[in-house]
Amino acid sequence: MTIPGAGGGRTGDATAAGIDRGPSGGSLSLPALAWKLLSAWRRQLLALAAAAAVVAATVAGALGVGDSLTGGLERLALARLGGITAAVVADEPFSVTRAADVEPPLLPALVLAVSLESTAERPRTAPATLLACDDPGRLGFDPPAPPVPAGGIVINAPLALALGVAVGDAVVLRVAAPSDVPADLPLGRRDGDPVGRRVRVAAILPAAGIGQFSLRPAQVTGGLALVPLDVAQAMVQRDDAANVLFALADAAPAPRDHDVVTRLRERVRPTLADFGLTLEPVGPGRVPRLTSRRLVLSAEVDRAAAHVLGPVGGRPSLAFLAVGIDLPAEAGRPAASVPYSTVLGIDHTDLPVGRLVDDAGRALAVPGDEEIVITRWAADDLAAQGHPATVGAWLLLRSFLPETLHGRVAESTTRLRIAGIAAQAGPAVARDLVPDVRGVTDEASIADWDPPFPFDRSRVRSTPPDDIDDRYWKLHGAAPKAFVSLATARTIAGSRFGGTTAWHLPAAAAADLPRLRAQLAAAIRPAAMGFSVEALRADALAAARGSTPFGGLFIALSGFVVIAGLILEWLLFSLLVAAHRRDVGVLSALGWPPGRLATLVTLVAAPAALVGTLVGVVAGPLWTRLLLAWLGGAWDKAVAAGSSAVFSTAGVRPATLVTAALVAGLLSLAALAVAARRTARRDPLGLLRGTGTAGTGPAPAGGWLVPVSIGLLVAGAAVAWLAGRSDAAAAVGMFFLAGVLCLVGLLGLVRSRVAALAAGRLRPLGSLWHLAGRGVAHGPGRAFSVAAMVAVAEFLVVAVSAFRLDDRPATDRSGPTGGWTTLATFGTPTSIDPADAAVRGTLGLTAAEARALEGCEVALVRSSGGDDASCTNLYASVRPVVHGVGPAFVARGGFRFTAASEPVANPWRLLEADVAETAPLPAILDAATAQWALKLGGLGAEFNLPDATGTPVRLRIVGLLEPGILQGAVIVSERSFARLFPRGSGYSLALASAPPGADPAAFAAGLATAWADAGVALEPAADRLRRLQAVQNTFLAGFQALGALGLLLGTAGVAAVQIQGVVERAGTFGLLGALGFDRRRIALLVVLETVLMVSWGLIAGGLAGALALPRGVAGGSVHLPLGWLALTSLLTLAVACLAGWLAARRAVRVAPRAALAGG
Amino acid sequence: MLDVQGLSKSYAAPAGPIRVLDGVTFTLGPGGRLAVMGPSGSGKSTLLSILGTLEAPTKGCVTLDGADPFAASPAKRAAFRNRSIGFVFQEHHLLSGCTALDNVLLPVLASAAPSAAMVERARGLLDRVGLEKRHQHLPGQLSGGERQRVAVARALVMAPRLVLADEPTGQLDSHVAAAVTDLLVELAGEAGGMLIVVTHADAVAERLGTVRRLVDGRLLP
Ligand SMILES: Nc1ncnc2c1ncn2[C@@H]1O[C@H](COP(=O)(O)OP(=O)(O)O)[C@@H](O)[C@H]1O
Ligand SMILES: [Mg+2]
Repeated sequence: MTIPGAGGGRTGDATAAGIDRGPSGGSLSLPALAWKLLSAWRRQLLALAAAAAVVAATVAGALGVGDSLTGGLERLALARLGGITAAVVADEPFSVTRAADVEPPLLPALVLAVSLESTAERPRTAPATLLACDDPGRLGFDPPAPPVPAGGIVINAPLALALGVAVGDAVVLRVAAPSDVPADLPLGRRDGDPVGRRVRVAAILPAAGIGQFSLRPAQVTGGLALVPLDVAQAMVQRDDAANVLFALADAAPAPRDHDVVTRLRERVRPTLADFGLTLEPVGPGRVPRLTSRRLVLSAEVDRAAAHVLGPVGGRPSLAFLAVGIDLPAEAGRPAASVPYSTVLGIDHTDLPVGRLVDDAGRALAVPGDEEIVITRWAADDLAAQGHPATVGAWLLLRSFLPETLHGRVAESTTRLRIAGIAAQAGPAVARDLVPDVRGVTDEASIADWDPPFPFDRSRVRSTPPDDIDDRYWKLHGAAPKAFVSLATARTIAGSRFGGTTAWHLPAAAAADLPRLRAQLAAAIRPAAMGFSVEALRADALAAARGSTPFGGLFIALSGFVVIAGLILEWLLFSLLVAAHRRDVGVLSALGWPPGRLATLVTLVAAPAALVGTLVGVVAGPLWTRLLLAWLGGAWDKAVAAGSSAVFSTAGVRPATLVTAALVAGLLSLAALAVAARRTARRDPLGLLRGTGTAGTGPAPAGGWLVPVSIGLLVAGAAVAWLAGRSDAAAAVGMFFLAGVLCLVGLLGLVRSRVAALAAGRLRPLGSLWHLAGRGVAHGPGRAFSVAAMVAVAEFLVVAVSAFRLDDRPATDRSGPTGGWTTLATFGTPTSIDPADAAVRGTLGLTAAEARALEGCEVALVRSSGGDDASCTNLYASVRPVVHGVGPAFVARGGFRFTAASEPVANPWRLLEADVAETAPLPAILDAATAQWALKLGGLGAEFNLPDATGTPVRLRIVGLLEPGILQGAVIVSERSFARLFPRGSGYSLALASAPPGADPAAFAAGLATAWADAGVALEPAADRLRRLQAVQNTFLAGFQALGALGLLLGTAGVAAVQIQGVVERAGTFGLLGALGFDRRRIALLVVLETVLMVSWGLIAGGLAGALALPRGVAGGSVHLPLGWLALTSLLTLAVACLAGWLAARRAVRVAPRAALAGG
Repeated sequence: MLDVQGLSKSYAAPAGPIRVLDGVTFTLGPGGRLAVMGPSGSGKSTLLSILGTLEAPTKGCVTLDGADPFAASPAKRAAFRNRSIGFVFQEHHLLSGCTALDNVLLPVLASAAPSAAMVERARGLLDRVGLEKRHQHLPGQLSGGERQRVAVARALVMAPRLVLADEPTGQLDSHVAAAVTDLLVELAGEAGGMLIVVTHADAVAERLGTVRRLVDGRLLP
């Protein structure tokens, strides 16, 4: 009989002899062999699958948390909008004549910040959003909004709770009466006298459907009140007004939001009336005149008017009030003064109402820069007072500063030379040159004036016989008594609100007015007039998808757990190879090339990893649910009640699970493939003989190990020390670097210790500890892996705990509260400053309140509407809030800076640095907001913010604040703020600090009373700080849970190693038993081994965490939660010991037979 | 032909290096057979490991038909081992999850899935070692002698130039040992391959013809 050669053909003999020839022999292939090994190796593969499952569950869980958070935020943001897709929003009410012309029809509404007061014995007030519209059912909320009965109000549950009212109770609804004239102008109303109305609560909405309406995404449902549109219109005294036009998604097919916005921009063309402008013929001459309800025409209107009205002979003018036209006493002449006169700035003396001429009928020229033309009446009046005004003489023009400061009107004086005296004709008697001002020009007598500026009635001569002013008023009204050039008028009275009060057209243009009105309206850009088209739904979705740093951070930190899980997989794989090292060794000895051997081993382990991954991905959502439920509860308790809606699991998207499966599966496979490659390259003899442990045994430690380890430790400590002196953002990074250095250094020392133990085999046995040491040395690589794994997990626990912030709020000026005790936010911007004793007298405070406010400090801060970018807002801020701080705030300083662009004592001053028109505006933010929430970068970073017209304005970060109560806003100087938002008036935010020793309750009550009309919401600075810190601590607790999971993995690794090690050394234990060791002693031996390995890991990890621990990171004093650390460490140790002990017991029972069998 | 020149091997140990082989020199012509005997610890297994390229010598060189496997990369050396060397270990070292036939085919699978011809060859070898009815049996279902026969078939499946057997019959009774040795001699010789067997049993050594003794790492004449 012959055998076919290796490549030769088959012989008939062989076939004939073929008995028992199954098919399997012919189908032996790599996968087939892998499959056969798989069933032989299944016990170890099961453990591997479990580790892969943990990795996958962690990845899926982490991605799921991010996903659910986004989903929850998205759902809530959409729920708040119902069927609203976009809206035209105006910063003040406009007439809604055109709303119905747009297709699909828009729903006009008034959305206002209001306050409500219960009518109980001890009334409670609460701020709320008022949504006034007809037919709210059209807004498309689910469930649909109920109709509001006449005379009734519907409020939502949070508001009802805040007010303590039930259905049927009466409440007082207060709406701030809007001032037509900007409050920051001397002629603007600053008292904000609210209009109150008693209404009955008709229904209380649940915090669902329209009950959670909000134009901006917010995770907490605020107070909401619904009334019919006409009720709100009556309250704001504008019977055709709305300030919002809603675009609704009721048109089928639903157009894309983007298209809706584009179409709105195109179709919504406000009329002049919508802009608050009037172009009408006025006066006896029927001369057409363009004026604004706001008194001043903005630069935008001016630009359009110059374009449209200029070519038809239109002329601008700026009228302003002179407190006095004064001739000071000189050379025997007494002081003379004409009180409260209108001065008109003109750029042409040939006005549509007539020519400016002198008594001789000669045309007067436009006065020069330092010149003034007074009327004959004024000249005569001055002469009658004994001080004749002659051409060429100098007079003093007293006027108000064009903008009030903190609600206070100040005066200025301008010295001007009399260039001429105008005859009492034409412009000098044309009262229509001056726009109408409610409460002033409409009063019958000057004595009846009720102006918002300081008005010294005694200076007005209104009682006969000395009633010359009243007689003039009755004759000519507010007709100008003096003329200056338009340029001069603008330097005296021009403001950010504008430098023109009227455009005057030739009387001939009257016939053409309809065309001019249309042209003018078309030439004005709505955005510049406070109209904006907002893609509410698209914005909400963007905010939900945005930056919530938590999801990202959670995924990042989950990465550590994944690493621990991968180490575990590696370890288990090594154990697998160790258990079957002979199989691998044989193949290697038979000449399997390393690559093919690695492929085979990977093929064996891959199904286990993949099955584990699948199981883990299925379990991931449970992990997500657990975490979110816990986070939601914590937020509700610590940050803001009602937040948990966001955390409710929206269900993890299938795409996320697929991603998680791919990521986790690939990571596991990669870990296995690398481990398999290492195994396949091992020396076949070593594998066959079983010397050392496959895969895990690093090369024996060289002499360099200890010095290098110590070097790394020192470097780590140095980086940690540096981190304590760096800004927070850098410190966090340095902390982790320091941690890694320390960790690697300490593990190096552990490694050398293990090596020493292995070498110590030569020394004679001393104690049971010694014997345990030898047990560890049996698999030095494995022991090291266990220690490393436990160390990484313990490091994670310590590191994350170290970031927990102290709850104690610092109250000093350089602390996170800046020394302020209270934050006040206003529904309606106000200028009331209760720190001003004179103002306090007018506020109706009780004696106790007045006492508590005496000596208090208040900083009024301008604030734009927008999104809070602090960590308490889970939504990404699409449009961050901008605060404008005044000179007083800047001078006071306060708060602590982590970085400033220049080394100055008070970095706030950097805000007021003079910058060129084109240079970026200086801005200060807190470091966390700059880095995390807005992702702007660090010091010196430049970014764009849209101004009121939506035009991007460049800003530059000149200072970074430590996190504190100003977190979440971009802070600029008041001057920069005016450049960004020129149309706004008043202050939306105030910081107040109680005088030392004041009763806090009385102080708060005083502030509440003082600012009641502004719809104030007060929050103690300490509470705000606690809320911010609570967010951080809640998240950190979530991260700690990850650390605990890491430890769990470490423990599982230890247990696996112990069980495997004991089983492997069954013979040894059998022998020990034969030598007279009793079982308990053997079990103790195994426990001691465990203690050695785990303790090294715990000590290395804990020490690395503590060494790298940054003092002063994130501002608060950092302290280690020792109890938590002790608990986790002990638990790890206990579980590992239990596993070892159980394994040892089993081993001892099996041992004798195994020993006899020669295993 | 196998040419071994001045082969030395030492192991590092805490108390200084241990010299296991010391200048081993011999040659073996095509079809040549050699039995190596010697006391335990004299370096026999070490010598076989080096000849089988499982371990590198500290000094000296080995060439098989003029090729020096230790000059090649590990992957090339593995391929060399696979094609040119057949091993029979003291313990059978069969993969427990694989049938007898599978185990014989393992060296073939090192480079590619076995062709039908190779499968036939493996079956033929199993038949030749007397396991006609055991092709699909797992190692656990075979006796010690049968396992070692499978190992013999596996060592020969690639028709290697050199077959190395380290105490292949150490755990078998003398009757079975003789049969396995005869098989080895017969099958290795068929293709003109060389055979080196390490053994303690004189009966085994006799069947190979040439016997050399290894004492303290030196090959006695
Ligand atoms: N990997 C190794 N490390 C250290 N010493 C070894 C190693 N392998 C073998 N030895 C030593 O080499 C000597 C010879 O071993 P070996 O070749 O197995 O002897 P034999 O097979 O002749 O009994 C023995 O003393 C053994 O202790
Ligand atoms: Mg031997």
